[in-house]
Amino acid sequence: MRKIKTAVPLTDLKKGSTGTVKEINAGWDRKRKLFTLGIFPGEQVTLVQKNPVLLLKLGYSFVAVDHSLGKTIKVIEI
Amino acid sequence: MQKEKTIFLVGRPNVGKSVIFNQISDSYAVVSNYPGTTVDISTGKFKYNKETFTVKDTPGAYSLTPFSEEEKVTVTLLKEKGAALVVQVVEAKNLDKMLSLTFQLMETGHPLILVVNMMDEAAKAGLVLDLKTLEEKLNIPVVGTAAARGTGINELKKVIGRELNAKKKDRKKSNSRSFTGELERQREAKKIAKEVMSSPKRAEVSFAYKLSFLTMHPLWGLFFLGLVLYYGLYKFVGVFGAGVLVDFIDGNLYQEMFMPLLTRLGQGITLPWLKQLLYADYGLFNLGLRYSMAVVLPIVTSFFLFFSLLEDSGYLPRLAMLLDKLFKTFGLNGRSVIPLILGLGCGTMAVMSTRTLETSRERFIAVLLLALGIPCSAQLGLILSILAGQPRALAVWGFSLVLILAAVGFLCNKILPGYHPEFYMEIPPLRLPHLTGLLKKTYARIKWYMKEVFPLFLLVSIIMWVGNMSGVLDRVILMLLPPLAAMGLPGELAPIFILGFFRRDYGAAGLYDLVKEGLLSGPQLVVASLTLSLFLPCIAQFIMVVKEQGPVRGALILVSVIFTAFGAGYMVNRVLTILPLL
Ligand SMILES: Nc1nc2c(ncn2[C@@H]2O[C@H](COP(=O)(O)OP(=O)(O)OP(=O)(O)O)[C@@H](O)[C@H]2O)c(=O)[nH]1
Ligand SMILES: [Mg+2]
Repeated sequence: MRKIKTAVPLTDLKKGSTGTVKEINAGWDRKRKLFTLGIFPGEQVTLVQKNPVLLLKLGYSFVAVDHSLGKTIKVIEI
Repeated sequence: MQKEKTIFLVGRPNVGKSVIFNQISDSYAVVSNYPGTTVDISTGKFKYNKETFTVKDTPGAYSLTPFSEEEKVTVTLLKEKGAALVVQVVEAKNLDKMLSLTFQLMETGHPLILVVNMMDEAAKAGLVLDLKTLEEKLNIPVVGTAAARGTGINELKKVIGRELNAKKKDRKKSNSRSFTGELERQREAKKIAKEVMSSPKRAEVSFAYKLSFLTMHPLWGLFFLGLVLYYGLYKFVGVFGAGVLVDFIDGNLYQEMFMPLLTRLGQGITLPWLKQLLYADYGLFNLGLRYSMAVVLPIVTSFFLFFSLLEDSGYLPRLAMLLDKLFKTFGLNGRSVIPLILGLGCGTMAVMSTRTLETSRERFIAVLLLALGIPCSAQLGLILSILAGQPRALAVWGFSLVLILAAVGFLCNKILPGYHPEFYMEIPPLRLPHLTGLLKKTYARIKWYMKEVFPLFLLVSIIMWVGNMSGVLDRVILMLLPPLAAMGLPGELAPIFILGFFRRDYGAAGLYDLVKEGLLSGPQLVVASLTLSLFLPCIAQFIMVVKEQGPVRGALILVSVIFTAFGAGYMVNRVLTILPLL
């Protein structure tokens, strides 16, 4: 039987792992910030670095977000 | 008379709009490798088949529903002014993230051209883009370019010319459709991008790619920053620019060869006032001309070169990321790193670039810190060179300056209502700076420096001369003596503080002269350098502060800067008399 994985905050992923964005738990303002960077549901993100801020790889681009913004991104690890 | 046709260059930040603007127009806009370089509209002329059109380069915008001040500039412009043609620039590799804006632009109904730039980088990443299919899907003209190398520019010019002259009915009708929201637009963008992109080849892993991770590493990144500061700022700007270069140009050329010549030429002058104006200590030749050309210019030039290298390589966003946590204790976040660092180049330009910050609270704090304690290039270079021989003095100066900036930022964060918004930033790839781009930018900045400095140097010399002749100068000097004495500084420094009000670098240049004459002790040197670093922003910067922040906040900033400067001078003097640090 396939194990169903639950969505976790991006900050809980291990460095180097990849996840699919499930949802963004934040108000419209923060959501929009993340959208403009290309982070929205269905998108795959790789957590490249965790400190001093989160560094994400999305397709061919790199994006940095701080932990408080990163917490609002819920992902399913793959 | 026919209304002049205007072409707008729009797109996300850092996709190469300004490079394209520089290639197709007769004007120059600054190009750097970080998002948010252009914060105001630049205008130029585009010539095609003897016809002339206006081109406007705009600040990068993510979407047509803006959130930062500089994005608003672009969006308002698109809404208000009727554009004859909109040219959207996108980055080839990240096409999927950029087509959403294309859909929005289509909805506005302006004629639109899509430029897929940085094709060279896409190829390096092993990507192939089918632009023909993209053109069919969107039904607007699509041009592929590698603007930084000049590839595809002629083709682009042709397409722009053709579209401008096309009759309305001959134009392709863009496949505009309305979407219910950003999410849906992004989905559609992704779908189209997938259909036109393929990656048959493997990506090259370049040296820049590996270096990139080193510069962002929490530990190695700081080590790398140390190297950049030591070799770039201290060795190149401080020791070479402000030391070797100034010694040669000011010492060997100006004072030993040029000045005697001027003096000989002036022997015929009998009018005493004219002789005063030209040859007095603060006259045109000894002060204005010499400071701006022989002392400050070489420093500014070497600084701008070093700085352009930082900007064009893409190092600054990485620094922003590293310093985010620190900046949050000042009520700012990593995004403020770039405006504050720009302040090391020129405070006036930096104040303008605070527009890239989100809240008015952040903008106020950033402008205050810029006015207070971010020394501009010329001042910094001179101080580095003055203190270069005395590492301990340099350390005390640097430490106090950073401490004061941090304390002020910390207080602001505690006192001012509001919060600091979250940090988010795109990190562009590290790019090898192009020599021509580097030189062009440095040249543009030097030209700009000259334009600002020349009228001012005349003015300052004349004001000092009038002040001297009328006795006002003496009275102001008398007024400055008590605060100077409180800081343990000799009265000779009074005129230097007056100069410092006109331009930060003149104040530093005056200090440089006093030091050469050996008039200051170690502690005095530190106190004077520190007070001058903190002292008033120059006139040009202050005008910009008022423009961006309004007169009330402007005045508030001015008053707090004066008090902090003298207060800090006083404190450091006390500390240095108690502790034998020097
Ligand atoms: N490799 C490569 N680099 C490019 C190309 N076009 C531009 N660049 C680089 O991309 C960076 C950004 O260029 P700009 O012209 O400043 O970008 P912009 O769109 O004006 O950016 P903002 O003013 O911040 O909105 C610079 O470092 C350029 O040298 C290209 O075709 N190929
Ligand atoms: Mg630009």
